[in-house]
Amino acid sequence: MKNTSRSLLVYAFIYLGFLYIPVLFLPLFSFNNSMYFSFPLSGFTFEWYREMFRNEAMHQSLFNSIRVGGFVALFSTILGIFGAKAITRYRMRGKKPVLAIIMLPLVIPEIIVAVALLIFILQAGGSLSLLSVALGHVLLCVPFSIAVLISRFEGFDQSMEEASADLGENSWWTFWRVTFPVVLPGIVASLLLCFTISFDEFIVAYFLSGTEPTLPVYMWNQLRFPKLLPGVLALGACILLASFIVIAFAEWIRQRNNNMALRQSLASMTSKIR
Amino acid sequence: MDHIKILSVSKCFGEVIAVNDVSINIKKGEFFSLLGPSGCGKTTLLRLLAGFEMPDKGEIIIDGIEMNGVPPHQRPTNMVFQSYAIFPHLDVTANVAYGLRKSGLSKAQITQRVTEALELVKLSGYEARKSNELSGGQRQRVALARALIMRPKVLLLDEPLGALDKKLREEMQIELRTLQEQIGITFVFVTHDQEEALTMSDRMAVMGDGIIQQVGTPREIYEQPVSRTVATFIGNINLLEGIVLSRSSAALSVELPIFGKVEIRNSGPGRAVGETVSCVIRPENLSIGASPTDSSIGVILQRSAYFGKSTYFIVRAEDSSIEITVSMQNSRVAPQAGSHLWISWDSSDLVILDE
Repeated sequence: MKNTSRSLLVYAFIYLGFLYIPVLFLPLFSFNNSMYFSFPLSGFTFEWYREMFRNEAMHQSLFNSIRVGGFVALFSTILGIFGAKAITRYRMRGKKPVLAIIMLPLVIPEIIVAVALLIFILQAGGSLSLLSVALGHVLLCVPFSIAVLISRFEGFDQSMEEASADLGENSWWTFWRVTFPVVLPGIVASLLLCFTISFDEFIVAYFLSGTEPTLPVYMWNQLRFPKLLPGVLALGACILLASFIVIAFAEWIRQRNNNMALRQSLASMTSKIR
Repeated sequence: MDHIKILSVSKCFGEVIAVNDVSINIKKGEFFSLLGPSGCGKTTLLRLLAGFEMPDKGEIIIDGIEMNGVPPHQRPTNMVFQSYAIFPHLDVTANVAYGLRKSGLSKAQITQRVTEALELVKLSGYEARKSNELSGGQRQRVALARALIMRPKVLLLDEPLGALDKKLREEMQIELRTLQEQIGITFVFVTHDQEEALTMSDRMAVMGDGIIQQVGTPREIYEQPVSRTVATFIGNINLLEGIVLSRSSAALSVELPIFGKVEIRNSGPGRAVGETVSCVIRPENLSIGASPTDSSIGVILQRSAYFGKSTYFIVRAEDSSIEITVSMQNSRVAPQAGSHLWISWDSSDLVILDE
């Protein structure tokens, strides 16, 4: 038994190492005072971070990505709420084929979607902009949003919505007073997921961004200029740190809520015993 | 005085007829039960009253107002759901006060109403609890308080005691009944538990296959069942086929297996001489003894089943394979299978079914 657990431990370490060591090279080289990524490290510098703060084009692309991500997260999640509510709450004809068509972008290669959208937008006389990128991303994100939200909508007792109607609320107020708060964790999950997908999506953004690059497109363009690349590393390291802080914060909140619930249930148990 | 009128209401789901041409009148302040096996349409009927379903045919009138097309949030009814449907993101106070948003009451008045409602259901002191910190019985009380705070004209209850254990269920039966008498509003109570319906109701309807089988007081339903479905669904019963020998205006003379020739009060539709009729008698209306009396008949004990407060004896006549069940309060004597016993009865307890 002991041997099994040790070999499992070794496996776990190798797995985690494989996953995270390459990522750790990013902050490591961002402090290296050479333009080339090779060992041994030649010296310590903040130069790339200073350059990052000076680089207006990079700021613009980061700002573009955040704007697109925010729009995509909000819009996809709103569509996702409509879709998930319709699929889980109403009896209607053709529900299954409709759901299958909505979910299709999950399995179509992104490059196909990207080319198709490009042709469509140009044929329709539209111009390439952040808006076209955002709409492309919405197409990719809605299936994820619906999938997350359907499980949340299905997971709660529908008679709660009926109870609300029974207690005098119309469907609008029932949504805001019961459905929304109950599915809120799913909505938050969908917002985060859609933002993340949009933030690091490259192919659709590359085809549709025109003259306003998103961050991944900007980074890709920098690869041609070795001089500019360390600045990208510095930005990458900052994003890594920001993600880490966000995740740690979310986890801290979750733990705190769990502890609170635990304390309350303990209190109710002891009061019963007394 | 009819508070709720259900007039030839039908409701289909696809091919399934859930409620089939049902008509019932329910009086104001009555505790009315809808009893039937699962899938008999009783819950659908309750949901038609609440407005969650609209009838395909017929109409429902509550307190003189036609309800067809009126959505649930505009009906003078409130419901206690089978799952209780407590809002998990709200505490007990917010759950109970949920329906008072548009009431125009001040915060202090709402607090007052919540306090009263919680007192009514004996849940004072639990104001700040969330639903996951409540037991099944407590949730049920919250659901009850949440509905009663609306001061409905009719309270609809969908198997509210189904999820509770036997002892708690029996306590809640008495408590609900007391509560209903105290506040005096009409209760429509759905259950599949016949004892529960018999104990609690002023009147009840027995449903089967979407059809009302019989409406009456618990005593009428239990003692004068009209159909085989009602007779066999409510409690234990002996069902015997007999032939009409002669008839008078007041009674039928019927030849039954085991019992022989008996005189039965003639209440149902006219019967012709020679017609086959179904008769029923409850096991507790038969008595059993070790020695013959004036009117008793000898039987052979096949087997017995012990139920604590009473014992069921399954017996047959010497010349017949038809078995009947006799129940008796426990005596110290426990007769052996195969022993000869004597049964007797009062012919007023024999009932002829309509069908």
